[in-house]
Amino acid sequence: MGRDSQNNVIGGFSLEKQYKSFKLSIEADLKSGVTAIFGNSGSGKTSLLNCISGLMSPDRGYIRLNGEELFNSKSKINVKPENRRIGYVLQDSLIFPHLSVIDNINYGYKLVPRENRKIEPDDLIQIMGLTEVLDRRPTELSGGEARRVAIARALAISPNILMLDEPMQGLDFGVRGSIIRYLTRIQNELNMHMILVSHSISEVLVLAQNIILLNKGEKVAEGSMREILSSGGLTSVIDLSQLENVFESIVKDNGQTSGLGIVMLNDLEIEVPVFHAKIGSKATASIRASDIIIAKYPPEGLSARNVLKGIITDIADSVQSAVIYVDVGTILIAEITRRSLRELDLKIGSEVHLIIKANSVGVAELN
Amino acid sequence: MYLEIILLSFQVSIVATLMNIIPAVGLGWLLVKRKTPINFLVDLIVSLPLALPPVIVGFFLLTALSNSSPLGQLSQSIFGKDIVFTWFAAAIASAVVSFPLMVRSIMVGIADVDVRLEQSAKILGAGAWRVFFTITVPLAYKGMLAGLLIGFVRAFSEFGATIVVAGSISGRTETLPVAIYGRILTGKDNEVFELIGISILFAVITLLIHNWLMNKYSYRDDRE
Repeated sequence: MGRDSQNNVIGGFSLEKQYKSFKLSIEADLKSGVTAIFGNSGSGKTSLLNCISGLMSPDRGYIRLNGEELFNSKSKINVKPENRRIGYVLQDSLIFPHLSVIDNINYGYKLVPRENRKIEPDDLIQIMGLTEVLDRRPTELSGGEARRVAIARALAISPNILMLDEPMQGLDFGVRGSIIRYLTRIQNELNMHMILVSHSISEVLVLAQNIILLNKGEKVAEGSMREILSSGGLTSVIDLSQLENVFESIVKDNGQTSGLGIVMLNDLEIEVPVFHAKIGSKATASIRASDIIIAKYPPEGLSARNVLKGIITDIADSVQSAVIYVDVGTILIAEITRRSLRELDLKIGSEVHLIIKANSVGVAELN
Repeated sequence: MYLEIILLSFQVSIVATLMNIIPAVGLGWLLVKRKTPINFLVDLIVSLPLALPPVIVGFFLLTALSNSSPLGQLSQSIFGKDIVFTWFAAAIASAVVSFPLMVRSIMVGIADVDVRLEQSAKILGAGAWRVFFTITVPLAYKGMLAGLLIGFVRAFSEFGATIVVAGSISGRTETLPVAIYGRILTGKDNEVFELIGISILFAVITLLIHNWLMNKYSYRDDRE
């Protein structure tokens, strides 16, 4: 997950804007990799993105990116949104309804001077898995496909940074896993810096190295997930019971005949309830962090179907509870009480066993 | 016999509509997109011909275009002709009277386009003109076409301002409504009914086209 990895500063902003109902007042560095802006609705997340993109102008402050000043109220600099080279996927995808998928993707690409084109639409179509839908009209796309087209369209301008406003919002659970996978590919294959706005902590958890926590227009915490969780006093903003592991898996058995489903998480077999999906197809699986039990020793005589051995890589100790990161081949997070943490004497590097009931794993076909 | 009248009516209303297109689209866009404190004032002035008796509009135009007016003298010096009591004066009168209807319909079309689509285009690197021509117009074309048609219909049936500023000169300024009026005065009832029939026919055809356009495939309605 690259937690605590070295993040280079690629820019920064300090801005103030007074709205009717609240005031946005925030200062932060923009770091390489994926930064998540996390907060409840009405915390100013979208307003912040609108200011960075240039759709709105702050009352005061500055915005810098890649050594270029995009906005400065003192020196009266305000680069127009069309000249900022920022990829911005607004909520609801907003595919141009009168253009085909390929024309949507090419819309911005064509406006980029040849020498600045670093990302080619053909590669994007490949990465985002859009080969099949290129000639379709936007009305013929599923929600997940539309979202992927919008992301590809934004990336086609070879942006300095990609901003996504609630990229999973309004999508079926099954599709969410696929968007997470595509965003991970974008990060790995295109080395794209991203700002991700979300009110769901699980999305943030999987993707972001750096998190900015926003509340009522102000930054209340910044840092890695562990730092955020450990910073305390965030109960109003983060609901840890929401915390879940979302990952893509391969269907080994849907349980239609055997009565027990099995999905593969990398090399791990995880038993799950019976579900509908073709064997061999991809599925999104989710496990709530609070549904995972941690044992120090190999448990015996359990009714729970899944016992995964792993090593603790990180512990985020918050006021409410502790979040334990366990490497079982992939990272899973488990939420336990602080008392359990103390009594079990869990430390980074400890070997533990994660116990997961089959019934607490949610599975949905990925499409 | 009526062909001359019909052709002249078309000539006048088509020219009137063409004259209006750019100002009506431009002003409609400004009124929707640029929220300024004087918007209501501009809206009021533009809509005034809609509320006033056309004969008053005609009187103002007569004053503005007469031989002694700057515009009238300009026309004299360039073309060696007067504007008033020509088919072109009729076209101007029709244009002024139909302008508010066109602007209003175009405004509805433009306001109907999701602003965030235009914002998305902007962020993708499109300047204001490009956003307008590649996003706004293709998505608002229904309202725009409807506006043109409504304007055309209004221009076609224009009488009050036209008779004042262009008069009723057979073969030169005698449009369909003017012709009907003249024949009512002279008691040629048969011709009146024939011309009314022609008017109704044209009106029905244009309204049918208008309604068809309004109900035609809409991107937004189709999504659900």
